[in-house]
Order: sequence, then C-alpha cells, then structure tokens
Amino acid sequence: MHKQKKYLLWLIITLLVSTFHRPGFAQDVSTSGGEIIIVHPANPTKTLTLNQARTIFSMRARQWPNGTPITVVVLNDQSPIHKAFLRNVLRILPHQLRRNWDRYIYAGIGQGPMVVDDPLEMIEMVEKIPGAIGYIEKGVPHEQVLTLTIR
Amino acid sequence: MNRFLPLRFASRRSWNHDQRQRRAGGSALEQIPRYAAIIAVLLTTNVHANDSDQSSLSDTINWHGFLSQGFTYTDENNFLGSSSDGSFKFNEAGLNASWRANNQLQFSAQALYKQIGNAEPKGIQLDHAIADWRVIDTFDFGAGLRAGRLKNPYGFYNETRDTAATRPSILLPESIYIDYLRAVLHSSDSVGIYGHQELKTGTLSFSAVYGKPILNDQIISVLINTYPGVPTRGDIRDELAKAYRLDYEDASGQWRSAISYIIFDGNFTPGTGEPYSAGNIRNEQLLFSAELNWQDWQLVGEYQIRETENNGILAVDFNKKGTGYYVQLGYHFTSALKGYFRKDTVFLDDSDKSGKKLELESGGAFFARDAFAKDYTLGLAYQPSFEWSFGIELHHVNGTFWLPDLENPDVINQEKRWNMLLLQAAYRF
Repeated sequence: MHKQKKYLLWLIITLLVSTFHRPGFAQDVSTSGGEIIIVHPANPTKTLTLNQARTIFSMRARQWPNGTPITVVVLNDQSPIHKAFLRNVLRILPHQLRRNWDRYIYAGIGQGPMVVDDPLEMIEMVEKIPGAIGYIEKGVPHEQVLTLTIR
Repeated sequence: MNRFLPLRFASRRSWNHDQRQRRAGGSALEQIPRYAAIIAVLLTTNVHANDSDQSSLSDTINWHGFLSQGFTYTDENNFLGSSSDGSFKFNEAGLNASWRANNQLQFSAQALYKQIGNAEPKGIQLDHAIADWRVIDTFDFGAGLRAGRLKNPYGFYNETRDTAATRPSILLPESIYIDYLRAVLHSSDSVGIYGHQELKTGTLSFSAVYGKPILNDQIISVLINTYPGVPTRGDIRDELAKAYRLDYEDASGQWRSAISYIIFDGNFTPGTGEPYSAGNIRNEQLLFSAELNWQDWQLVGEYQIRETENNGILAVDFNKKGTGYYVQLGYHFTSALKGYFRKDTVFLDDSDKSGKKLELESGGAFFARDAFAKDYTLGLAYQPSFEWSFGIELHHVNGTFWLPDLENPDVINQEKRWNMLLLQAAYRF
C-alpha cells in the first residue's frame, strides 16, 4: 500500500511539472492560414464528417461510396504542413496516424499512404490519381483539383 | 529463467552447440555478414517506395523494409548474447511487399532475418504471407477475412514487434512479450476475421485469428520442460493457437485500450525410449492494454493474466497461474526526442511471488529468483525522421524469470540483481 502511494505521488508530481512546461510538441507547429483537403477532380463527394476524414486518412476505409479506390497522399511525418493538417483539420495526434499505418505496413494487414516530397507534388498526384485525397495550405493555387469540406 | 514453463533444461543442449560455434572462432561480429543480403536488397530498393509516380496505386506493389542493430552490455549475467563482453547479437532485417488487386483483395508478404542472442539464427524466414478479403467497406463499417501466415492480434505491440521503430522502447516489456517464446505467440498459419466500427467518439476494432503456430524443435523442448540433459525428439500435434483482440481508440488519439486473449493448445507425443509420456500442453493469456496521451506525456500499461498447464508429460504436472504487467511513462522533449521510464514486473506463480515454494519443491533445481523479475528501465529514443531511430536504454533487473539459461548455462551463478545497457540504431522505409 505504501508503495502504491509512492507511485501515485510521482505521477502527480510529473503531471504538475508538465503543466508548467512550455506548450506541447503537438502545438509547436507553424500554421499559416490553415489547411484544406483536396481530392481528384472527378470525385463526386463534396463533404465529409470529421470522423469520416479520420477514417480515410487512417487508411481504414479502402473505397469511396461510388467504389473508386481511395489513395491517401501525405507529406512526410516531419513536414510542418502535415503536422498542422493533423492538428487543425483532423484534430488528431500525429503518432496515432503513424501507429495505425505502421501496423498495416509491417503486419501486412493494410497499406500505408503515398508519401510525396512537397505540396506541388501533392497537387500533381491528387490530380492524376482517381480516388486520391490529400491536403494543402490555404492560398496555394489548386485549380486542377477539388476541395472538400468537413461538415 | 525465461519461461512460462521452465526453460533451463532445454537450453543446456543449445549451450553445447554454442560452445562448438565459439571454438570454431565465432564472434559477435561474425554474425553481421549473415544478413548482408537483406541489407543489400534494402539499400538498392528505391527507398521512397511510395513516392513513385505511377498513375494508380492499384496496379503497383508497395515495398517497405526495416533494419536494426543492437548492442548489449551487462554487468552480471548475459542477455541477448554474451553481453558481459558486449554483444551485437540483437538485430533484425525485414522486407515486405503488398499489392492491392482491387478494392476487396490485398496480398502481402514479408521476409525476416532475426537474431536474438545465442539462439541459433534460423536464416531468412517467411514472416507473414496474407491474402486479405475485405467483404464490407464503408466509411462507418469495415469487415473482412484473412488467410495465410498471420500475426496474432495480441496487445499493442505483438504484430509489429520486430520493427524497431514501432516499439515503445528498444526491448519490449519482457513480462508480456518474452523474446524467447516469440515462436509460439507471434504468428500462425491461420485464418482470421476482422472488422471495425466507427463510433461518434472513436473506433472499435476486432480481430480474431485461428491456426497452427510455427513451432521448431527448440521450442518443443522448452514447452514440455525436458529433464536435465534429456532433450526430446518428440513431436507436438494438434497444435492450435487462437487469438482475439477488441480495441477501442479515441477519435482524437488521446487514449486507446484493448483486451486480448490468446490460447495455445497442443498434444505432445514423446520419441521412442524417452522418459516422457504423451500429454497435453495448454497456455492461456488474457491481456488488458491502455494508453493515455496528454500534451507531451504518454502513459502506457498492459496487464497479463497467464495460466500454464502441462499435463501427463512429466512425472509431476506443471500447472501455474501467474501475472505480468508494466507501466511506462514517456515524455517528448521535442517531437523527435522522447525519454521514458518503465517498471515491468512478472511472476511465475501468483501464490508464490517470492519463489520460496518453487525453490523448495523443485529440490533446488530452481531458485527463488526464477519465480519473478522486476525490470526498471530508463531510456531515450531519438527519431530524427521517419526512416531513422536511435535508442539508449538502462535496465536494472531484480530476478531471473526471463533470463535465458541459454546465455547463462552456469545456472547456480546467475545473479539475482543485474544491470544492462542497450544501444540500438534502426532504419526503415
């Protein structure tokens, strides 16, 4: 019993310390004007719920309602735009997405997303691949693709 | 002592094998060329496997792989090789491919080379080979069937335990993910069903696997707990592993939890003239898992209830009920640098936590310290990119429950308290 109290004390101390610490790593991403979801120009889906968007980017759903296979396009994990998109639009922790992808990739029970190097390549891929979905920062020209809103 | 069932006697044979290897001039470094082939493949494969500019993913193959090398140093006892001199015998390399034939059908396979300590490396193995048929697939609900060599859904880490970057530390908590019993619990040639349901606040997932575990001779002797110097040439038949897991993940990733249940069952038939009788082996584990993320903090814990039965094989049946659990508290200094502390505890027998009964009843074949292990771990993990990760870990261990006799054949002189330093570098794509 005494031991358990000791652990509890340590837990409380660490939690207290953390509240006075600088903002968390999840917060320290630079955000310009926000991020938007883009899809292939032929995609008839105009809106998604937040949870549907999370399901798609987590790679759990494999097809659009019309049967077109979903291709998720993302920037690399370290990209500030990627982090900002997860934080501001999907509102999830980056490692949660990565953990799900890793299980699919390394246990063979799914697939990971397509990773591109920069926003221009992102737009190019989303334009080219039917069923593709990605994201860009607001203000980046994107006439070739459609945007999709979270309702 | 490293077992759900005592491993000591089985390991003695392997020690002789190891001695022969060493006399022949083996060294830790000698092991490295053995996986040079996989390294070569990894390095020559396009590392931006997914960046390819094909017009459609559905007709391409996705390639991924991983490679890691560890270094172990212990002050007392040996772990992951002859670590009191420093050991490099902890490494893994894998290469996998997946191909989505259409929306419903995916095929994937992975080759793995793995060395853990002085256990004889088994060369390049087929780690998984899966046909996955997604029967239902909407934004709210998905379900499907799988067949082939499947990883068992067990806890948070079993399925990806060989990929360093997916582990929460260099060494998984040995209370629950005992490395030397990996063969029994890791994967099976099996069929499985899976599904997920999107709820308002999160995702509920389910996975079940039913099949034949991939056993080898060494594991059979471990499982039946052979007498000193009397290895078995016997066989385990009708072996079955069933694994079930129910997961709930909060939509924002703040927390997740899981309940897993795995049962291994098999019938042992001894070789001719061996002092063993035909009998049944059964190993049942129930595991609760939880993870909480809050700002820069992460708290992970798993709690295992384990029941081991070994009936009719030895003169005295070996039936034990034990528990294993750990709590790990991690802190992200930056998004790339994480520090963590873990306490990991395991008991062979809940009615004999001090091990005194074990020592007494076995007539000194086992020591009290074999009945438990308490591992205090302090670690730093640095992941500068998706591809690279580096780790350093310090362990202070009290108890020899999962200390392999294979690396410590002089069982009388195994130390109850020992310390370990682990280093690891890993690459993946």
